Formats: sequence, structure tokens, C-alpha cells
Amino acid sequence: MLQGLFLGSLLVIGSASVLGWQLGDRYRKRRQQLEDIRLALQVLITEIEYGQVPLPEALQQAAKVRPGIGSKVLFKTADILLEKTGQTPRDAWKEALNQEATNTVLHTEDIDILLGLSVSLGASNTKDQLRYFKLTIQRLERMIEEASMAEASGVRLFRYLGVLGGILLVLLSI
Amino acid sequence: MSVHTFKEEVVSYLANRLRKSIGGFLERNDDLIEIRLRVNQPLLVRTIRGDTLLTLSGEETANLARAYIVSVADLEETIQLVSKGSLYALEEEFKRGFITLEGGHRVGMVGRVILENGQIRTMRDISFINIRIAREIRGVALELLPYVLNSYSVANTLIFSSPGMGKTTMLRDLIRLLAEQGKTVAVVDERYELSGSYRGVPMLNLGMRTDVLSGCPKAEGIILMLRTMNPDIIATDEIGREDDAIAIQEALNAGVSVIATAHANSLKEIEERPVLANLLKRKYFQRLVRLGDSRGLGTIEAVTDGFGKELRGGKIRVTGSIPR
Repeated sequence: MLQGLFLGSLLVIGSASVLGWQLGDRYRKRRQQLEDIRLALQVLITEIEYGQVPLPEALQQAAKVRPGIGSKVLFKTADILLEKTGQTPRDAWKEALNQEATNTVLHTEDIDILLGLSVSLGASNTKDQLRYFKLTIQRLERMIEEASMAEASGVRLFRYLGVLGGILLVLLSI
Repeated sequence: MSVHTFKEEVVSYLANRLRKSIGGFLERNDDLIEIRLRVNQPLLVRTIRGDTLLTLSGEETANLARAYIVSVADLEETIQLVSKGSLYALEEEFKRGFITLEGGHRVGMVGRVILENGQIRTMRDISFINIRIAREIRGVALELLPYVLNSYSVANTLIFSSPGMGKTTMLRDLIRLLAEQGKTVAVVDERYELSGSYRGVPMLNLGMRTDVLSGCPKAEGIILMLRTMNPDIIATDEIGREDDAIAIQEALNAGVSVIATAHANSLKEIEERPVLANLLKRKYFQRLVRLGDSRGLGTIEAVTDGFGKELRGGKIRVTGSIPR
């Protein structure tokens, strides 16, 4: 009987810890995903600036650099453009982002920054493209900074909360 | 390129609403030559029958109130699609005012020019677009071939007509036929119209003994081709500048035949243009071919020799009808 109670308590504490761990992990993931997208955009603007590569190809090249959410959005945008159904880069970028964003832990304000790029994507000369990309990357960096800070406190907080919550649940149920 | 695919090709470059209209029009018609987009003006297409306004569903109309009015957004979207969403990669093209599409169709565009030291740096706010459908009409020059090629040599030939009468189409087919007859042809295709080159690969058939230099100014291109490709014939489109004449002379001195086109309604008009008149006076051209539309676009109206003697006068026959 006592043994069963002990095992049960362990199970409750264990599950709560895992839950806390997972919730905390969202902070780490958001930072990672933001960094992913930043890298993808950095490679993309290099392709545009130095390679003068047409957008669909530039997107594919940049997408190959590192797998992740950035890569997925870029590939998706290229796919939509290559379908030749008359979608402009603006529409393609929006559609790709909206589709892929559902599988991320990104916040609305992160997505908004990326959606902001749609207006100018491919639609101006190299100099202006560079300006728009720099602006987007700068704004992303601020979000990455914020996400890192949240990660530092949030991950630990949720882990503790998970373990302590589990213990509290056990104590309450005895 | 077949007539069946050019429709899908062209339509895919148009803004959404235009696609609907032109798509509808193309379902019923095969004779499209040009699509004209002008901001806040009705959508207009030119066919071999003349030009006509289109409604949103693509019906021909003479009623302005029913015609679809092209908006700023339509033009912007079209430019985006034409550039494959890569305006940054087309700065050179904006400077010269046109883009060649896959399939060889040519998109001319004008708007507001940005100058730098008196030279065109780029173009913004594109408000007028002209899409010319590239067509390969095989056999259109068969009638002309005997006048240009005899058993020994190729006559230096100038094909002339007013714009849109099928000069380029005629020259393209003539090049192909001459290449088939064993002649090595060097094509200097400054505006990408003859070959429809897209990334260096000709999209239109110029024959198996033809080398193409695209995007190069004609005069420099002719000299370059002479030096590098050892041609029997040099072919180029739309001559008229002084340095073109010098380069043509250079080619003739090297024993290479020249086939070219020029904008002019009549022989008299050619004689009024100093450079062309000079070439004519020196009897550089042995064949002068006038095209017209008396019996359909691309009708060979007359062929004369360098002395103005008509080798075959009058209307020969309709040779340029577009296949259905």
C-alpha cells in the first residue's frame, strides 16, 4: 500500500516535471526559431545582393543552408512562386508564413515582423532590398534578445514550477 | 515553342484581373500579337485584325464603358510577375526598358526615368507595358529564300517595313532556312528578339548552324562575331546607326554576307535616312525586301536588287498568316 502510494507520488511529480520542462522549453525553442529565421534571411539577402539571383532560386539556395523553420518558410515561398499561378512574392511570403507559423512557438509580434517584409520582398532594387532586409533583421535581433532573456528566467521557472507543483499535488492529495 | 503553350506562358505573367481577361480572349483567339497595358486606360490587345478593347471577361468590345480599365495595381503586379518577383535582378533591364521572358516574348516598359549624370540610371513607376508575343512561323521565309541564296553565295539582304509587319519573324525563319542549307550564321541579337534567348539559351529555333550573341550592341557584336565564330553570314535586327554601317562594311570586306532588317515604309524612306542611304548608295545590299500587310502580316510586297530593279514585284502571296 505504502509502496503504491510512493510510486504514484513519484509518477505525479515526474509528470508535472515533464510538463514544466516542456513549457520551459518553449522559451528556448522560440529563441532558436528566431535565430533560424534570421540566418535564413541573412543568406537570402546575400544571394540577392551578390548573386542577383531571381527570387525563387535565391529562396531555395538560402533554404538549403540549415534545416529549420526558416528553411521551411523559404522553401514554401519558392514553391508557391514556381507554381506560376500568378502569386506575387508578397502573397507567396504571407501564405508560406501563415502555413508554417502554425507549427512554431513564435509570438504574434515575431510573425508580424516577418509579415512586414512581404511588402518589399523582391519588389525593389538591390539597395532598397538590402535596407528592408537589414531593418527586418534588426527587429528580429531585438526579439531574439528578448527571447534569450525570457529563456534565462522562464526555463528555470517552469522547471521548478513543474517539480514543485507535482510535490504540492502529492501533498494535497495525501 | 508551340502555339498551344504560348497562351499559358503569357497569361502566367499577368496580374490576376488581366489574366482573367486575356485568358478569356485567348480561349477564343489565336492571333494575338501584342498586349498593351496603360495606366487608367482600357485594356487593349493587337491582333492581325487590328486592335481591340477587352472587357474583364475577355470579350472584344468597341464600347469604352464596357472595357476593363487597367489600374496602377495591375501594372505593379504584372511587373512583379514578369520579373519573377526579382526587380533587383533586373536593374539593367529597367535601364534599357525591356525584359525578355521565357519563350522569347518581349515586355517593353516605360515610366519615370531616374537620371544620373545625364544617363538613365533606372526606371520607376512603370505605367505603360507592351507585351509582344514572340512567334516562330516556320516556312514564312521559304518564298524569299531563292532570292537570297543561290548556289554560290548569299546575297546581302535588307528586309524593311513599318513596325509590326513581321520583319523579325521573317528574318528568324530566313536564318533557320539558311542554316539548314549549310550556312554558318552568326546572329547578333541585341534585343533578344530574334532568338528569344533566356539566360543564353535560344527559345526560338534559329537552326543548327547558328551562333547567337545576345544583348550586345550590334556594331560591337558584328565585329566580335567576325573574329570569333567564322561565319558565312551575319544576321542582325534593326540597323540604322552609324557604327552599324561601319561594322557591316567590315563584315563585307571580310567576305561575310550580311542580312539585316530596318524600320522603313518605303525605299524612299530608307533613302532619307543617312546611314541606310549610304549603305544603299554603295550597293552594299543586293536584295531589298519590303514587307507589308496587303494580304496579311508579313506579305512580301516586293524584292528589288541593289540597283532598284524589281526582281519580283507586286504582292507575292500571303506568307505570314498565323497558324491556327
